Amino acid sequence: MTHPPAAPLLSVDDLVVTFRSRGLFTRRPPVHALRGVSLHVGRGQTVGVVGQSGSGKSTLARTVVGLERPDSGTVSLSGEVVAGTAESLAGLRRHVQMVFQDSLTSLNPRRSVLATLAEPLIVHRTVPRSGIRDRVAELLQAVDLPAGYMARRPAQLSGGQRQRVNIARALASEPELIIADEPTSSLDVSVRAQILELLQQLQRDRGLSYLFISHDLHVVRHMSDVVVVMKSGAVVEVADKATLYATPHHEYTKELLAASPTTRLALARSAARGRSRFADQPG
Amino acid sequence: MSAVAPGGEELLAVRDLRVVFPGTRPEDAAVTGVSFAMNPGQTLGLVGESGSGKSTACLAIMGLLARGATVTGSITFRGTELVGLPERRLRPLRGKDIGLVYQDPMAALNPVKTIGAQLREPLRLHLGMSRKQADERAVELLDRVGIDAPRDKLRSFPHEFSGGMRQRVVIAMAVSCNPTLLIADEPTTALDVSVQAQVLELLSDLTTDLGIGLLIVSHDLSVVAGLADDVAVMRHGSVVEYGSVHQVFQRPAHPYTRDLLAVVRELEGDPVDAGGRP
Ligand SMILES: Nc1ncnc2c1ncn2[C@@H]1O[C@H](COP(=O)(O)OP(=O)(O)OP(=O)(O)O)[C@@H](O)[C@H]1O
Ligand SMILES: Nc1ncnc2c1ncn2[C@@H]1O[C@H](COP(=O)(O)OP(=O)(O)OP(=O)(O)O)[C@@H](O)[C@H]1O
Ligand SMILES: [Mg+2]
Ligand SMILES: [Mg+2]
Repeated sequence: MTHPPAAPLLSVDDLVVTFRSRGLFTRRPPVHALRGVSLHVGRGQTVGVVGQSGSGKSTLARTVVGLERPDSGTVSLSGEVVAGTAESLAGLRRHVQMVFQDSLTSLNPRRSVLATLAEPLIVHRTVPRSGIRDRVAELLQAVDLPAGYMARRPAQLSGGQRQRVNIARALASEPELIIADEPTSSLDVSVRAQILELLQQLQRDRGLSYLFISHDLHVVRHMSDVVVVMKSGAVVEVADKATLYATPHHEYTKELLAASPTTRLALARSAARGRSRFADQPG
Repeated sequence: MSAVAPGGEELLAVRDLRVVFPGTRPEDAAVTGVSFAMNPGQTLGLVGESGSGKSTACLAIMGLLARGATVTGSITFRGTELVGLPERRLRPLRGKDIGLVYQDPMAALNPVKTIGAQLREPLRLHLGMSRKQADERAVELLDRVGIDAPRDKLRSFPHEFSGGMRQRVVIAMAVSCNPTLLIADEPTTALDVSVQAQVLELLSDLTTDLGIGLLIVSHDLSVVAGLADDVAVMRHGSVVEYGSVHQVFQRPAHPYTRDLLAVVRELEGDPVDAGGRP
């Protein structure tokens, strides 16, 4: 395990987020989405976040990038607290990019792929104007999409293709930290392997850091130096991956690891039903 | 080796389906000559790489493709030809006889309506339930897909739900009117393993207890292996391999299927026995 330096790139301290319904007639109980969450991501490090559906993973990600306002607690970048001001958020955007869980709603339906990917290049001036089209083609190639897709709108892409446009957009501004919320959930194994390899390559070359949210334990194991396990808005376990997988400490972690299905088991169940349209079933 | 059921018993039969989107060349058809069939109560898994045409095939069955898309070939649902069927005859089938779980939950949810209102709608429209009956059924459905405190959640809006919760709401909506065919496009992508197990259990119960035919798209081969009876592997718009899950997973004939399974084996670290030996 790599030791985090004195001031980690990202430091989340005791973050509390509560959602209160503000309906006129409806009074619903408040949702305690984060109940004092702390974690650190060092430079060049990948921290994986796993946890049940509704445990607060996306809320954590959204709060770090300033999309939700915490009740209390702080988010710091390289030791400096990111206050909720426009200036400080603009600074944050350059260094921190997010890949959202929902790839459809996070893309502007009226914008072409070219416009979507060109925007961060223009805003952050990462390439001269004349080089934009080439850079967009390069980004598309990196996520295994043909350059011919530049003219397409989000509705003209498949689910996995949209997810890859989102990843390419995050890479475009050459951030230091990428917060990726289920970035490969709609990708088949071969494309997924390619995207994960790309992310690791960038980490080796440029020291990029990742806060990597995924329910896929294979992916988390493959990517992370440290794994954070969340449950009901709280961190219940933090461990380097070797320790976590060898000696899970918390009950919930054990449950998570045990539930990981394997193809072999699944196949056996399917065969037992014998409902196939095809005649030959194994004996 | 060939299909056993005579044509008359088929729940769904897709023959030589071809889809060309507007603005693309005919040779770039998103779906080119796809054929498969399902018996009632049977589960067919549709797998294949990103962009291979899985969602397009599903949407074609529902008659929900983008305007201007050209669909040719034949899709029969319990003997009725769906290709070219007028919208007014397709509409009553959707949500009642055929349920659809969209790949993107937000595409199926109305952001300004409560979850409860959206769950009640098909129940009142198709099953003629009263508001109170529909509310009870909605609570039961949310509970079934593992949503905590379901009664409170009826007044929530989609943006107040987590990704995995939305995906489960969409599943609840799709099964609410007891369809005879459920088309589920990547229904478990946003779900952690414990919730995923619960949803897969539900889908499996629906096929076994209620005899619902399930067409499931998933890039997760262990999901397909567990649920499906037959599997069709798509690539570049065509079906490159089609057979029982056993034929396809244990003795993959197509190089693409072999590659696919090899990657899974590597990731899982728990090899599927490719030769079918113990
Ligand atoms: N805007 C909101 N208003 C009210 N409640 C919300 C809001 N956003 C999230 N929540 C609630 O906060 C809790 C945490 O949600 P979050 O999206 O962070 O979960 P998650 O861990 O990302 O889950 P998943 O794996 O399903 O995506 C959930 O109970 C959710 O319903
Ligand atoms: N409205 C559209 N106009 C033009 N092309 C489209 C449209 N919708 C989809 N396509 C293209 O058709 C092909 C098949 O898309 P489809 O959504 O069926 O793929 P998929 O197999 O579901 O992939 P994924 O696993 O990524 O969801 C893709 O190349 C996609 O870019
Ligand atoms: Mg989430
Ligand atoms: Mg799709």
